[in-house]
Amino acid sequence: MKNSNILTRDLLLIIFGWCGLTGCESLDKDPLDSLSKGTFWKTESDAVLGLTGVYKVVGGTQQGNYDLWSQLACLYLFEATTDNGFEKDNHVTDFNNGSLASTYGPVKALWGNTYTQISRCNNFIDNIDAVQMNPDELTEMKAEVRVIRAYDYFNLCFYWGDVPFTTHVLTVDEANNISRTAKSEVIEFLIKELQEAIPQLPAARSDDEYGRITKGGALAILGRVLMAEKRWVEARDIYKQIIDLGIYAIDPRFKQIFEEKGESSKEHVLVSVRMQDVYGTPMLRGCHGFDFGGYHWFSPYNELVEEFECIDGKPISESLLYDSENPYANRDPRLYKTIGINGLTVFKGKLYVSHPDSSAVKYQDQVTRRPWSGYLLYKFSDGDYTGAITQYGGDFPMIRYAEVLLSYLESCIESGTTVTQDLLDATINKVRGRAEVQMPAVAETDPVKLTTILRRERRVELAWEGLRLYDLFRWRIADDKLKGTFTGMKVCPASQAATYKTVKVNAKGYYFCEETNFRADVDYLWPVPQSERDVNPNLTQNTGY
Amino acid sequence: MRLTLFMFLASFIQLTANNSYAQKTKLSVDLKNASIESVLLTIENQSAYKFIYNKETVDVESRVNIQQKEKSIKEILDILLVENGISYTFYGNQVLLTKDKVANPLQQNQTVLGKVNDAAGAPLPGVTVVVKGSTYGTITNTDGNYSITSVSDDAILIFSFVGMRTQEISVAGRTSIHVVMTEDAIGIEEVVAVGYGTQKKINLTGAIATINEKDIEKLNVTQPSQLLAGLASGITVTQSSGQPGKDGASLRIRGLGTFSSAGTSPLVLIDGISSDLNYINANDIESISILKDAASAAIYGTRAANGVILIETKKGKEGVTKVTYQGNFGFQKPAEIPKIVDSWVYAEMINEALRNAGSNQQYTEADIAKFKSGEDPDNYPNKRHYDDLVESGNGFQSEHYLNFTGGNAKNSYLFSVGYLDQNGFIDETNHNHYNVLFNANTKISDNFSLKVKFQGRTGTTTEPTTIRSGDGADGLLDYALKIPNTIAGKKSDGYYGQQTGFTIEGWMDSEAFIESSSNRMDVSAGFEWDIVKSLKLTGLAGYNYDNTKYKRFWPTLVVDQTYTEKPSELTETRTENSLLTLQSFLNFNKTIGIHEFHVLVGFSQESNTNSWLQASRDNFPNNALYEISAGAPSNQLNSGSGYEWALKSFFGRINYILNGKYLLEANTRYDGSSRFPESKRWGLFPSVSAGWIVSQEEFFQSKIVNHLKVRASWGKLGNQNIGNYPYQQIMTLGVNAPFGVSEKIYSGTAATVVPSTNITWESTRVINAGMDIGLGNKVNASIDIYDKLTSDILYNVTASAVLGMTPSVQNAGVVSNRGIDLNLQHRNKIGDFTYSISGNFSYVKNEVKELATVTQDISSGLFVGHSLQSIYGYVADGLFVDQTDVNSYAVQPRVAAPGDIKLMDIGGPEGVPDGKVNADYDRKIIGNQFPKYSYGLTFTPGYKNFDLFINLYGVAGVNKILGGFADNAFYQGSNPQEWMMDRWTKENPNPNASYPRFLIVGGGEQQFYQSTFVMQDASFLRISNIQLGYTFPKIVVERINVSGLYVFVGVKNPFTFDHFRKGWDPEMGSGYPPARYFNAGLNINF
Repeated sequence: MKNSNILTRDLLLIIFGWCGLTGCESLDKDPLDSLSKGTFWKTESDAVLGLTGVYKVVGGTQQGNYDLWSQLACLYLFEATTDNGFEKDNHVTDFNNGSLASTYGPVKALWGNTYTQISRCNNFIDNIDAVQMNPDELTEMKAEVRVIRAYDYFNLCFYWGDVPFTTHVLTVDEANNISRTAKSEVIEFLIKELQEAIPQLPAARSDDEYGRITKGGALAILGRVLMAEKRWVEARDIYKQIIDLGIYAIDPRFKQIFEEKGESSKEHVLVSVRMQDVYGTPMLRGCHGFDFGGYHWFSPYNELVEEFECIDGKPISESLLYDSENPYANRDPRLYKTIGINGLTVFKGKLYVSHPDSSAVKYQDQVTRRPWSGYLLYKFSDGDYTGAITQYGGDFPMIRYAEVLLSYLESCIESGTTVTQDLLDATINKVRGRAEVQMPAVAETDPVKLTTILRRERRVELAWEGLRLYDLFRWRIADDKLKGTFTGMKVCPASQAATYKTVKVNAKGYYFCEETNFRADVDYLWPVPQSERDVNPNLTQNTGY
Repeated sequence: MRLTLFMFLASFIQLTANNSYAQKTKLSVDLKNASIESVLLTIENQSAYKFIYNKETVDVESRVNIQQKEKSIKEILDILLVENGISYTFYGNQVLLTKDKVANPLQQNQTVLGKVNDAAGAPLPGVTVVVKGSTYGTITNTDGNYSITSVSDDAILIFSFVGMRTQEISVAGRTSIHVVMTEDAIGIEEVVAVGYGTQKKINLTGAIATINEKDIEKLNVTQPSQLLAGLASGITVTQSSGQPGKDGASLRIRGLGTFSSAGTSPLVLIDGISSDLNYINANDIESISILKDAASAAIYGTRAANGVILIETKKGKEGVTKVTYQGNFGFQKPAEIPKIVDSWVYAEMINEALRNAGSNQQYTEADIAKFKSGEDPDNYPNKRHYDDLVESGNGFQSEHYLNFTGGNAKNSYLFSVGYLDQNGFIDETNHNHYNVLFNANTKISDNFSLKVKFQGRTGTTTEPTTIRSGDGADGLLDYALKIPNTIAGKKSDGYYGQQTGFTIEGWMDSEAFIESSSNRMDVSAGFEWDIVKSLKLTGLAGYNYDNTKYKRFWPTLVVDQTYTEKPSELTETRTENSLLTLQSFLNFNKTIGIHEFHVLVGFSQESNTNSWLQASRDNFPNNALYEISAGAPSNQLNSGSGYEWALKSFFGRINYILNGKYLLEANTRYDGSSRFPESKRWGLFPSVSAGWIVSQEEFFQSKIVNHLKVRASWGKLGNQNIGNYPYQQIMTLGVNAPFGVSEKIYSGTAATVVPSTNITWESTRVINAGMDIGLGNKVNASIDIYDKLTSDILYNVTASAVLGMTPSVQNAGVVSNRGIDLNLQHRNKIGDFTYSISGNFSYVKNEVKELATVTQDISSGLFVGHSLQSIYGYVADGLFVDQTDVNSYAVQPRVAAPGDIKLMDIGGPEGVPDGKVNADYDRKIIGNQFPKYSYGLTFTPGYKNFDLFINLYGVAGVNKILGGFADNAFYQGSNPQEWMMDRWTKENPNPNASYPRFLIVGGGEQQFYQSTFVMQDASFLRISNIQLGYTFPKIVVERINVSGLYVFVGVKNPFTFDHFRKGWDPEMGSGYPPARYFNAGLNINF
């Protein structure tokens, strides 16, 4: 009996000795490359890390992963869906062809990415007060984040109406059961947010902080909100505040302000910073024609081209300088800097040719090769850039001072403020009169007539900058403008239109291009993504979906 | 200790020794105060002689001095042995040593003669006859006769022969013993590997499938994971690519236990240490055990939920050094590829698509005529990008395997090297690897032995790639499917035809490549210590290390005058992983009367660390330089990370056998894992099982059934393979953004995951009932039914995007798998004709039982009451014939036109069809992606020296949607395929056409919706192997001085029967097509 006890003891020693010999492995393992939340939100550097995370563009650079802070996404969603043009691969056609449905990918992408950023904002705001740092800086950072969140919510409301609304990080259960909050309530909240944040923000930033929200940027966002809400008096006063800051100016250049050389121009009120190779954008791949190594995603319509006045400052319907058989002559200089025209535009020493009778072998941008209009989006093509076209580093100018001036004028008119020549000279004429454009000054003071001029000016000046859908929706003219046939380049003289064979043309010899069918009763509000309603039974759907 | 390595090299050199060897060979020995044994060893090392002796009767420990130069073996042995009272006898090169009779007058030693017949009375040559407890023995000659000298009166002779029941017969003073060998009932005597040990198959109470060497040898697989297809029931094997190096298969045991990231891959242990099946050479595998139920797998606790696969590698065996060479070579061709339409057909079709949309025609009649005529191949080509790509490589493959094995009573070893070189049918796709295995066992004393293993593999997979578009051969294939034949390849001016810069031929001609290589080493050392009789301690320490290197180079490429792909870019990633395993366990075996006990207790711990580092640069000075430092420093990027986990476990097993017929077994494991919070860290996984060998009962008297066993088991298993830190609240780093006039990137962080603070492992409860039947030694069958319920499934609760974060997994799901596994083996011999058939069949019903608080999660394909991987979508009702049809039918989700897919209105807000088809009410489960049935059959007939091996497998009750370029014409410019010719047109408004009207589609169209229209039946039956072999007769073989020679020719994947999309393989789907492989090879034994 004694022997067997000794044996047992020895055995146990052996078994556990084997373990002891090698050192029992600890089962406490911590992440090697992430911060544990328990130890985060303590110091100023934590706050900076968290703030940067809020600014990071959620959708990244991938096509289809739409995000409000990415230029490419804005061109897809807010320009290629309008009367300014379209995109060749039908990635966003459903927004105006009468088929928009709740399962549509782009709707889901923008919704999701926007809420991801809101969640990061909420997380920042929920935790930042625990950080030990200079209280002024803390307030300032918090204000920045509140502005970003407000911009996100504004866009959600603008396109979806009532939306799920939260100012705190949700639990999974809360997120899966949240109801939609009335749009008016969300808008009230965010206007108040912006009003509170604006005084806490600096008017100007140091060179190192360029790109972070400033007072002017926040005011300009508030201006957009108020315009959309038709709160004209408040909008006018807000825009006046921006002008009175005295730090923005119309840049004499027009083409370069959309390129890398135009970065940190005094005209930029709000930019989303890009950095070549490290934080680049495939913008140029999408914009450049095939013959210039790009994918030529976007095609402006002739309907946009027609909006550009002649150099005498008159629209083409009135100007004597306009020759309907030679429509590209004598036009607003911005036309040639915004749109690539067959046989006219030269980029990097190479002529852009898109005519259907050109040799398709020689010219890859020839219209019949792809669903194109024959026009190229040229505004952002940066001829000096030599890096990878998928990694372009030019900033995305989200709000320019030109917009501020034109919006100021619009809210003056709409709020019933008397229009004077001084007002015109301080706004629209500054925009038209920049050194590189030099269009004749506007002298019209009649509010109705001026509105037509202003809207045309706005469309031309801000063409393809991501504002057209916003304008069409808030003016409630999308159902009129986005229903019907759109044309592309002029292919043949009107006299030959009836017999022209290569492609379909209209009576004036313009290439027939696309048809849209915007539904007035449905498409002004986008559908709540089906995937959201699949998980959350409390989410109602917008009418018509 | 013997220098094993030296010995086998020496043996190898002397393979060519012939019969006159004893006379010719002169040996020199010069040793002082050496044991006889060491002298014998020296001789063995110098020559091909092997000495056989029983150390208990022959004294080889005596010390001698011997100095002989250039003497014959006999001269040396006379001096060395005879003077020390030892006799010797030559058997070829084997020398048998016995104690001199004269020196031991008391011992009664004699010669025993006899004949061995089979049950039919035919003589059996080649039967091994050995004296029990020694290595001393002989083999029966062609007439079945044997003669064995120096056998003591009380010796026991063991007669063994492959496929026959081994017999032990006491000599008991007889000098003549005749034996009748009977066929072994298949597998009953077989010993199978179980967790931390082995067990006799007859005593098993769990559900274990085994695959042995014999089947493995025939298959000549390139990745061991392919081995299991069709060979065992209850295992579903899916190979998703035919590309060299990527042709490994995924394995699922008994359905899909979980839908979580914990995964459904079984735990694989090679010689007791967790590893990866594909890291070893299939030729090195001795046996594979698949532990399917909880009774057999519970001893692996928290990692066993998906089943466990135990691999035993071949070990050295006592006896003369044996050398085996196996070699085969052949070539592969694509087995099934889609047929792409010719350029002029493409032109007509895209015109049709444009017409359907009311748009302008892209090609004129003249253009189409030019395509047809082929007069201007630069501008109007018919370039078959896809066909040319899959025919660009030579597909040549060769494999060599060399194996040395040998040993004596104390030491044994096995050493093998393998080499595989595999070219794909796409040029520049290649995989090659070297395997080495070294297994050595040594007995330090009678009760203590050590074993050492080294297993290594170095492999490289290379492939061409697109530049910046899609990685590797898959990316090229994808674009080859996309780029129409109307776009030229390399043109006469040296430039390439391109579609948005994409050029298959340009990419293939360029220096673009992806190379992935891995170096793997598994080393282990262990001991077995028989502390006292019936008590054994086993210890094992293993270290697995692997590093992988991934390198991708995009050169600059001048595509044409207008487009140059640039800048060049190199990305390199290196990963290191190491796993340290320590385990020790104690076995206790005791038989008291009719009670037999086996007890096992043990401890193990594993710790794993992983780290990776990635770097990239661009703008290389030219396309011939692609090492990181050659790139421009201006855009150098790097990243890296790592993780750790650890596992600690205690385990035990008790077997109790009463009277050889009542079997009882209990297993348990207590696991602690670092992946769980402290409060949930430890878990207990028990199992019990019982068996009853009915055929052992006295009342059981059947002439037909000679073996009948029923068994049942219950147990719990776990699955811990979730993220490494799921319970911890973490802020993800790397959420960076730039600021500043002179841009600078700032580090950022964000909470991207909602942690689950009380997470614990998934647990799987398995109930199994089974029966094994043996019929007249010719048929062996087993049937198992099981009910497997996995609960606490780590479910990534689908959260509304409003959450803005990904919820971490929670223990929130329940899945059940119920099924039947059937196995049948039959073998027979009719004259010179022999055959064996083994078949298996499995059925599994997979069902989600619970899903947190919801009943469905559409985006993950999870629906309570339905199978995992369900396909959820619309029901299609053919195509719209005309506008009247459109107008009179339910309103479609998109504005419909004639020729569009017609989706059925199956519901509405009131529960009845509402005249409108929408996502809320008109989708349902239309199919599932995991097969319900799988089956396999192996048929091996043989006639005289010829043998044939046919292996087939299949699955049924499974669906698949190909999607993308494979399913859609004119999607981002993609090609139509020939099957799409059967489409709707105005002229032929066929509602049942295979394809809707042609349109240039963007991805939002109805044909991209999941519907029954695009879903395919992915069931198939694949004849996976046919191999014909010939074994050369001994008389021929002996003339060329080898002991065995076998040659074969075969074809892999010759036929597949299915109803799947034409040109596509139902198993592989899109991507690299399946390969058909023709080969020939030989095996030589020296």
